Parts: sequence; C-alpha cells; structure tokens
Amino acid sequence: MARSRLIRFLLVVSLLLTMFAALAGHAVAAQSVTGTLDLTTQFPVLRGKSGDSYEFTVSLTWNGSETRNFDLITTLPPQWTAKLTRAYPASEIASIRMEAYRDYPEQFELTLAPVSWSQPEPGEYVATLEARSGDLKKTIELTAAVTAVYSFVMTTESGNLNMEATAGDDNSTALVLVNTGTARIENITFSSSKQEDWEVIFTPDRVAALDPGVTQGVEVIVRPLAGKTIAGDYMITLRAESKDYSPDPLVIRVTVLTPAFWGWISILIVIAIIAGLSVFFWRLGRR
Amino acid sequence: MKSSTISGLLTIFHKELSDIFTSWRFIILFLIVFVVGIGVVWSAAQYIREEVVDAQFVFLQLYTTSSPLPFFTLFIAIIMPLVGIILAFDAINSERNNGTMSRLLSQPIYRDSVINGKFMAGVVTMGIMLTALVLLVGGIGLRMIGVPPTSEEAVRLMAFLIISVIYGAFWLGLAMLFSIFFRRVATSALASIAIWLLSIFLFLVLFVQTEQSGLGLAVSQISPVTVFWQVIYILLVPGARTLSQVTQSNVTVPSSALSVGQSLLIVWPYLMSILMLTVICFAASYIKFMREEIRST
Amino acid sequence: MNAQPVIETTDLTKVYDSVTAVDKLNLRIGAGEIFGFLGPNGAGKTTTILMLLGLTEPTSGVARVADFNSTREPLKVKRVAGYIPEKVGFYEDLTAYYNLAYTARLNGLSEELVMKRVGEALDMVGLSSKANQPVSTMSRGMKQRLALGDILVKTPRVAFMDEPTSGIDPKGVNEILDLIAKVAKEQGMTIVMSSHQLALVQRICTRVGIMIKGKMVAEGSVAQLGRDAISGGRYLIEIQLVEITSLLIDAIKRISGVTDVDRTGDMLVVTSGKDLRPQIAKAIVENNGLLVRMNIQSYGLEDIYMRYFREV
Repeated sequence: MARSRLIRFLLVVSLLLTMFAALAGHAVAAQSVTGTLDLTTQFPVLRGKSGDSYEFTVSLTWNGSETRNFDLITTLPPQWTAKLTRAYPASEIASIRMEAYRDYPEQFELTLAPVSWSQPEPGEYVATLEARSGDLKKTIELTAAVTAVYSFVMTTESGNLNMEATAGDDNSTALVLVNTGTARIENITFSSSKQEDWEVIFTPDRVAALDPGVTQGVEVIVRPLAGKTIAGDYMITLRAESKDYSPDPLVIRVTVLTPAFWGWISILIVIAIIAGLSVFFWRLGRR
Repeated sequence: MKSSTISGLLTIFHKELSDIFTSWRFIILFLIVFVVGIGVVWSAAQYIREEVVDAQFVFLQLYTTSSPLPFFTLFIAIIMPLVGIILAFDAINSERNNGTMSRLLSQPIYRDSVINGKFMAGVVTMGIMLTALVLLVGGIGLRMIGVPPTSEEAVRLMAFLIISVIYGAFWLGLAMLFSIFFRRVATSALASIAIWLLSIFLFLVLFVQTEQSGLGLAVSQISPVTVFWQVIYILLVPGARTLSQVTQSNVTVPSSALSVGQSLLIVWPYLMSILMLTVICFAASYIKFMREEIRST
Repeated sequence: MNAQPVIETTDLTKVYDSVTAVDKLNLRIGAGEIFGFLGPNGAGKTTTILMLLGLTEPTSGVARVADFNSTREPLKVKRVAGYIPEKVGFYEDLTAYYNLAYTARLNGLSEELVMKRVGEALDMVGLSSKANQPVSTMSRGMKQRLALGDILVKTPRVAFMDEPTSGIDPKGVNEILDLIAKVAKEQGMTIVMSSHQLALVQRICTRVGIMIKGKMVAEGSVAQLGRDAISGGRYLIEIQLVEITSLLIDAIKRISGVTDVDRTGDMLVVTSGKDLRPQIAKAIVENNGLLVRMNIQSYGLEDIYMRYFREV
C-alpha cells in the first residue's frame, strides 16, 4: 500500500512541476524573444512540366531559448495542392516542434502539385509557406515554374497504316495532327523516307501553329515513279518535326498497283496474241 | 520462170506451215511450251514483286530471274532444240518413205524449193511461237509488275527473239540434215535427240563447274546450248560481262550496266558461231539434198 | 510414127558406180502412143524415165521430151510431163482433194483453176465421192487411180507411169488399164508405161519396147515382136494328125514357101514365110491324111519375154 501512495505522490509532484514549467516558459517568451527563426530553402524555384509535382526541401531553423511548436501554413495558387512531409519516417506533417537552443535546422519537404484534373498553364505559380508560433513567424515563397508540354501525334485519319497506290498517279491519304501537349506548337514541317525517285507531297507542306487540343488535317500524296515502280508492297516513313517536339514517325505500307493503262495494254497484248494464234491455227487448219 | 520458182516455194512453204499447225505433235509441244513458259515467268514476276530487286532493267528480269522455277531463258535454251527437232526430224525421209518425194520433185519446181520451203516453214513457225510466247509472257509480266519495258529493254528483247530463232533454226537444220542422211525416221529422230541430250549434259557441266576457267568450262563450250545461253544471258542481264557471271545463275545486275551495243559486242563472237552452225547445217542439208540422185528401187 | 517424136533419146547412157544402168538408148515415141516399157526389175526402165523427166542426170547422151532437153530444161519438161512413180505415195492424213490441189498449186495454177482441174480430175478417175476423205482410208487401187488423177490436174502432154499395176488385184488392174487407155484417148496424151507384167500391159499398148540390162532389145507392136523374137519373123504352123507318115511330110515340104517341117510326137511344126494354112490343109487331104487340128502359132508377150530372158 505504501508503494502505491508513493506513486500517487510522485504523479502529483510531476504535474505541479509541469504546470510550473509551462507557466514559467510563457512568462519568459512574453518577456523577451530570444533566438531567431529562419525558414530557408536552397532551391526556391523549381521548374517542371505541366502536371508535374514540385518537391521543395525547406529548412527550419530555431535557436531560441525555449522550445516551441511551429505551425506550418501554406498559401497556394488556385488548383494547387501542397503536402508537407518529413523525410524519415515518411509521414505528413502540419507542425514542427523545435527544441530550445537547437543548433541545427529541421528539414522537411513541401510537395507542390496541381490538382489531379488540372493541367496548369505554363507560368510561375507561387506558394507561400509560413512557420508560425505565436508572434513568431517566418514566410518563404516557393515558386513552381510550369513550363509548357510540347506534344502532338500524327496518325492516319482512318487509322489504317496501309494504302494502295498506282505508279505515276497521285495517291492521297489523309493524316491528322493532334496537339496533345499544353503549348502551341509552331512551325511543324514534314519529311519522308521513301523509295528513290518517288514523290511524297504533304499538303499543307507545313503547319504554322497548332494550339493545344487542336486537330489539323494533312493530305499526303504518294506518287511512285511512273514506269519504274514494280507492283507490290513498299514501306514509306512519314515524319513531322518541330523545334519543340517530334512525334514518332508513321510507317505506312504502300501497295503499288499496276497502272490502269499498262493493265489494259497487257490485256490487249494477251488478247491480240491469243487471237492472232487462233486465226493462224484456224487459217492453216483449213485444207 | 522466176515467178514460178517463188510460187512453188510459197506453195510448199504454205503446205508445210499448214502441216505443222495441224499436227498434234506440234500443237501439244506448242501448248507445253506456252504453259511452262508462262509458269516460269509468272513465278519470276511473283519473285520480283516480293523481293527487292534492282529497279534497273526490271522488265528484263522477268526473263532472267529464277525463283523457284528456272528462268525463262534457260527454258528457251533447253526447249528450242526440241522444237527444232520435232519440226524437222522427218522432213525429208518421211516424204521419201511415203513415196511423195518423187511425185513432188516431178512437179515444175526447183528442187531446192522443197528444202527451202520446209526450212522456211520451220523457222517461221519458231518465229511465231517465240514471238507469241515472249509477248504473251511480257503481257502477263506487265500486268503483274506494272512496269513497261524501256526502249533499251525492248531492243534487247528483240535481239533475244531473233537470236533464239536463229538458235532454233540451227536445231531445225541439224534435224533436217539427219532426215536427209538417215533413211529411217526413227534413226534421224534418235540421232537428233542424242545430240540434244549431249548438248544439255555439256551445258550442265557449266553449272557443276566451280572453278572459273577449268577444263569443264572449255568442254561445255562445245555445246550449242552453252553458247546460246551465254549470248542470251549477257544480252538480257546488262551488267553481265563474262562467262563467269553466267555461271552464278541468278545474281542480278552488278553496279554498272552495259549499253546494248557493248553487250552485243561481247556476244558477237558467240552469236557468229551460232549463226555459222546454223548456216553449216543448212548448207550441208542443202548440198546433200541437191546432190542426192533419185534412183530407182 | 509421126515425123516429130514427143519423146526422143539419143545414145542416152547412165552409169552408176561403174554399173551401166542404161546403155546408149535410142528411143522415139510419137504423139498419142501408149508405149509399154517392158523388162525385168533392174533393167533400167525407171532410170530411163527419171532421165527423161530430168530427175536424174544422164552420164552421156540426150533425152528430149516435147522438144525440151530434159537435163537442161527440167522445169519445162516437168510442166508438160506427168509422172507416177512406182511406189506412188500421198500425204496420208490429207484428203484426196488437197493432195491433188497441192500438185495443181505447185504447177502454178490459179486458185479457181485449181478447183476446176482437181474436180475434173477426180471425176475422170471416179473418185469424186472420196474427194474429202483422207488418203489413208483408200485402197491401193484407189490410190493408183488417184495417182492418175494427180497427173491429170496438170493436163500433161506426156505421162510417165512406173509400174502402174503393181500390187493391185487383177480386177483392179483391168480397171486401171482401161482408165489409162480412156484418159490417153480423151486427153490425147502420150503415155510411157513401164511394167514387168507383160500380159496385162499388152492389152492397151500400141507399141512396146523390151529393155534388158540397159539395152532396148526389141521394139514394135506386140505381134511383130513375137514373130521377130521367136521365129525370126517367120510363121509357125502347128498340125495335129491322126497318123504322121513320111509321105505326108514330103508333101508339105513340097509346098512352095515352106522352109522347114519338124516332127515332134504326133505334131508337125511347119515354118514358113507366110500364112500357108489353106495350102497345107489341101496337101494333107490330097495325101489322105486325117487332120485333127491346125493352127498358126500366136505369140504372147510371155513367150517373147521368156525368149529374151533365155538369150540373156
């Protein structure tokens, strides 16, 4: 029994001591702010593409004479989120307790990210982080510099990667360019890998500008060299290029057909030969 | 008298041509040659369509590409002798055996009209046959590959046609010579066929031969088939210059092609030897036939 | 014989490898004659015909047909002369019509003339109904007739026929010979026909020549030849009597003109310069002889032939 009484006594004493300490501490702060609060980051501006998240490493320094809790408050541009995490063990934080006379900074991460449905326009998005404890506060600006995403795709309108062509004729197929990026793409030019002496013509031959989300049709005319191209299958590669982005080339199988003229000529030849021989056999067969 | 000579010759020529074009053995041969020839070229055209071939002289390759069947020119080199033999192995001796020869010779015609008329009919037949075949095959090839021949290719094909007819005429002359020398039709047929087979055998030595300038090569040159094939190959494969290239069967045109004139210049001696052989055979037939007396019994 | 013969040979000679096939033959055949050229196989008949046609060159001598030199102008000769070789042949697969049309065309006839002549020729030899049948369906006799038609299409002045009757049955032979005779008469053709079948040929030949070993041993009408050959131009009269007596023989011998009387068994053979049968009959009766039979011997070519063979 004596033992439990001793424990009860110690608890009361410790409680009293704690209360005293707390009151004493408050009294000190109110009396005089000793020590400095600092909020720094080595890289205040991070650059990234639209949709990326930006991870800032922030250091909080407090070398005051008393231990303090600092709340961390972020102010964000619209449609941006922020997350404060410490490195290890990983967990989200909202405030930091700093011991008195701490001579080394506490590091934590601030991850700035656009909300999931948003593709931020290129530009600078400034978030502020404030560390506050009572009257003490310190603010830091963290800037996410969103650069533009240059992306577009080139496909055939039909989706088929093959076409038929007649040598010497203009054989056209329709292509579409779609800007899948976030930035306007300027001056798209076209080129092709093809059989020697073939002609591949793009109409228009360049696209001056393609705004994000816009679809642009391009007609491609394939003209296999007349009189030299063997009927059969060929591969041609179509490329679109711009300063900022060049999509994967488009490989199209071109089935070259016999030109109608030569087709008819060949039929005429065959018919003429058969007719000639028939006449021959018939005439000479008559006795 | 001049006009009667020609009319007699033409009458015999016309009759012989009629005979040829109504005889079953010729019609069957004709069909075989056409079916095989077209098959060969069809397969060549398929090959050309599928494989990447040199775009130069595409049309000629119809006749020189091997895949998987042997090429058209090879077929012609081997079949033309048979055509010539079949047309002429019984030209004279069968008439003699049937007793139509003396009746024919008692008509007011020059004696050489008989042999000339028969020879002409044979040559014309081969001409018709080859022209029809080459054109037919060209027509089908054109349909399949869609590339018309260039004027140079046309010239080369024309030369090929003429040389093939001369080559056929050699075999025609040979068979006719045998038909004059041998009284029995079977003997002349067998003799002609034997020479044909021997020539093909010697020709094949060319392919078995691996060294470029061996004895086999020299031996092979005896065969008219070899000589003809060399001519045709060099003519239709514009890059080919020498015999050594000929043996490397279906290797296609190397870098620089020769002009028609240059190709012709290379084949000229061979061409002359074919022509000489033809002339010798015909002349021998002619002399033998003209000197031969018609005798009783 | 006409003054201007259609066929004429002068010392015509042919030597094959030192064997003389025809030896200095001199022959004259006039227009319209049917000349029978007789002799055994190998006698040189065919060679002579071939030389006349210009198909074989003579070693020496001249052959002329219708005034053309056969050696120098064979084409002109062939234009006027038809020839049926011994083993005549046709293009078996072709029709009779075509075979003849071919001959006509070889003779340079125009197409209308070809049709006309061939039709006429087939008519003449009685093969019109077979015109469009292949020759292979025809019998030997028909082919021989066709051969005759074959020379008719060129309307020749002279026809040479080498053994036209060989290999044909007797009935066919008579038909052919009648046809030849008829055609010769209608067309005014001169015909030279070689044969070794004497009995048959003598029926239609106006004149025959017998050739043996390249030489013409006899020439003339059949009757004349017979006398020349066997009795040197004299008549032989056979007499059969019941009994032959020397008295009787003497009596016959006494008849003027009788040169010889032979006794062979119960027969007497009287040789004389002319036909003395009435005188002989009278002599027998006068000497009480009993006459059974008496005839004057006539000579078939067979006899003549046998006679010449014996000589050779």
